Amino acid sequence: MTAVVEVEGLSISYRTERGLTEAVSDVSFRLQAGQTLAVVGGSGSGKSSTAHAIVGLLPENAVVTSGRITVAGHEVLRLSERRLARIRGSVVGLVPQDPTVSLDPVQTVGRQIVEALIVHGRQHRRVARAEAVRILERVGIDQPAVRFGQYPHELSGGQRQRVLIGIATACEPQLVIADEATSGLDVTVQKRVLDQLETLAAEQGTAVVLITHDLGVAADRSDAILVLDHGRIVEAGATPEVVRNPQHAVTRRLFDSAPSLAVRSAADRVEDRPSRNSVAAEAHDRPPLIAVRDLRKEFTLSSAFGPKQRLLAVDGVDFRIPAGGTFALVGESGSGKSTTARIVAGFEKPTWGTVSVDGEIVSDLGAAGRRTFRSRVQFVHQNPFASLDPSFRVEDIVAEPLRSFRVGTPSDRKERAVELLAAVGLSADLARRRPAELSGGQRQRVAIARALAIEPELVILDEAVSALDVVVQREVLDLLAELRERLGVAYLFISHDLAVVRLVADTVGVLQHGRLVEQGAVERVFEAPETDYTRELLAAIPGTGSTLRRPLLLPTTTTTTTTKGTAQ
Amino acid sequence: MLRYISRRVVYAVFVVWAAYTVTFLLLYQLPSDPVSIMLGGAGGEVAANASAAQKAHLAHEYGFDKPAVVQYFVLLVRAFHGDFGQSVQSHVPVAQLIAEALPSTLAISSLGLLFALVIGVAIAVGANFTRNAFLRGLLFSLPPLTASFPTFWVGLVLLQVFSFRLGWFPAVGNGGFASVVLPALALAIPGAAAYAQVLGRGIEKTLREPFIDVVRAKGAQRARVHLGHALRNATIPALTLVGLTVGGIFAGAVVTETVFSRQGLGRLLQASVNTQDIPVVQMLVLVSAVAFAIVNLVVDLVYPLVDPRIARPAH
Repeated sequence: MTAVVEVEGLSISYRTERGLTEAVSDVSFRLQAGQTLAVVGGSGSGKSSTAHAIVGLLPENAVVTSGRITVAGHEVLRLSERRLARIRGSVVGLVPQDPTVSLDPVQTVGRQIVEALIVHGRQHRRVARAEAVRILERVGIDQPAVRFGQYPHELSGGQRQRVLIGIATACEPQLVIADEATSGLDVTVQKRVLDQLETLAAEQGTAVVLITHDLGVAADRSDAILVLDHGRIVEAGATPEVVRNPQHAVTRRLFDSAPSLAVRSAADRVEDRPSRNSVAAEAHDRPPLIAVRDLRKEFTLSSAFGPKQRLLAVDGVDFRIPAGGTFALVGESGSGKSTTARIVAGFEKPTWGTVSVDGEIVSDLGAAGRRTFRSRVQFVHQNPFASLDPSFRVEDIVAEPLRSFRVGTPSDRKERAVELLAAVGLSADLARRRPAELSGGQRQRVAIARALAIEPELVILDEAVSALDVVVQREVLDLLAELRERLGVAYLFISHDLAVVRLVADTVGVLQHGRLVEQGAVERVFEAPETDYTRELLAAIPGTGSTLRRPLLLPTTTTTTTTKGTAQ
Repeated sequence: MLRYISRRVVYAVFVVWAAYTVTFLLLYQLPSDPVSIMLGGAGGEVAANASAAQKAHLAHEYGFDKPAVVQYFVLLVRAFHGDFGQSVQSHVPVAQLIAEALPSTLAISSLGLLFALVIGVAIAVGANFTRNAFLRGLLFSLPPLTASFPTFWVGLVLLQVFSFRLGWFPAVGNGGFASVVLPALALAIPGAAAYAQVLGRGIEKTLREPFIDVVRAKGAQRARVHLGHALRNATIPALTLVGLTVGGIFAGAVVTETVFSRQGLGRLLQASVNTQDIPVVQMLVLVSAVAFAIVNLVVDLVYPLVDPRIARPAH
């Protein structure tokens, strides 16, 4: 059997101000029809550069310094832009990372699928329309004929990712590259989308390169795993072998960090933190720091056509957070968890119900009271790339809350900023830099340092670790736990990732369509979920139903042929 | 969709009414006396000789003796019936003056807008499409450079080159299509520069969006990526700019018509302001407001066609 894709000695460098920086060094692998290869690594490991090189879509400042890529007999690196375009879509398809920004916002999804069908001149526009509707149906989108005429913003993230899978597979390419294709999705949606991709690949005999930072996903979905670190292959082999017996330290670190896989060992970790249980036990004796009662939030959707529609985003939510405790809200996107967080933070007013801090109802507070409230409750936003003012230096960002509350002299504040940076594990020499010069993990640490600057009693973390890769995510989670021990700060932790929640929370509430369907101590909810919805969420965590427990349905003889021969 | 359209139409009507009212307030606050101007011609020095009775008679005839509020409503009602009064200078009905000057100005400004759009879009698309680094740099630096050229200077250069040197177009006058080209071009340059700048940078930014990678991954060739996706996505800010620059074109007409010695609204405005011919000035402001409102109404109605998110917000 000949390989669908063969990569030999691929090295890629990026032109930067400091000269050429190597991102991928001497990577080789081959993949046969019908097989799935997972390329795993943290951010900066070179996995995305490798994927983009195969499709010929490297950014302009990238240079392939050596190597050869052959896809179905075409030497990708030698093709002209025009010839390359003919291969894209027809021979190799790409499922991109973030479905919310990967479709043209001003064209209907149908038209975008039709485009994929007609650019290669294989189909006439009129025939393509019917085919596009069939594709929408095939990727599991309800009412495909109606969806055809809708625009991307009218579809959910999961639906958009299905459309993108439909586009990538429209011309039945021999190779599909999924670049972190499900990383931004809720676990349940992720499971459905990955199932879909698997089914299509099986039907069409497609080879799949699955780029992911989540070893849980890799363990569940691949025949072979390639682990990259700093652009080099550090481990390669058949999936069951790599999962059962990881050889390299980097692989083991990825396994340890993967929240989905860590869930199984979470029980042990709880023992390391006695305060978690004691805090939970004390919760009933002390008055809560935060009490949320019967919270409701109604949005009026003003539309250019037709009558106004009302949407109940939050529908009767009750919970309490004791001082120093951690309450997690989990749910899929659209479940109302972010709206709840924003109301507790005082950024939005509830339509009904109250939020109180130490027994004082927030909406009854006067101007001075609201000001004090601001100093007690702080917020860490999901996206550290968007939540830091790019024109500020790191020290000014961290010191800004102190400045607004007129704490200390400018030199005091500067000193305090450095202390705070040290507290979140950042060295003092970063203080003079600007956000653009920092990595995602460093930026989120800066955002946390800023939130802690005025010593709040509650920090609201709205998907604060979701955008980070697993290793960095784990570091930030450990940091949050440590800060809680040291400072006694309480957290309201918002996440769609149950695995992460299990690692940090004392109590957890499960939101569905704005309602809290289940609430309780985190162990209880995970060990003995009471509702079907919670069970469904738990079952969808990647890696849980996986390789370590059941043998992979794959004859071991075929798996050895994929990577071992050429990987180093 | 109907709600969107009707709301936009109401806004447009409001803009016209507000412009009319504000002009009325401003012009009738001026420390000049229209009756004296009528009696004294351009300078007003003869006014002293006219008898008080004469003045009173005229003031009564034109309604200047009534309180400002009454005058305002009388004029507003008349305006609704198409009666915009007479020029206090020439005693010709204002509507007639406007009707005579309008076609010429409409010709140069609409052709100017067309030129501005064609040139602006061509530079924006070309700058992004070309793979030649020099050409790209040149096309991207052209808009900021030309935006700083004053209209009268552009007009003089065009005259020098195309009329006096090459003799392709007439230098002055209102004679036929040929006489419209150069003034329209002079009028178009600042607009074209602005559109090219905003659209060019917009396309450049759009081309870095992730969805462009997906379009390319489908196998789309360069022309389809640029024209089919990047251009349309970059259009909205440029479209807003078109609405805003229409006012500038009207102002530009004053200068352009002077340079090219053409009759038109610009010249009429200049003359009326000089002689304090208030009814004419008021009417010209109204015409300008109507033009502004219509163009912006069209822009507003085009928005949802270009970007469906405007008329169909997500649920």
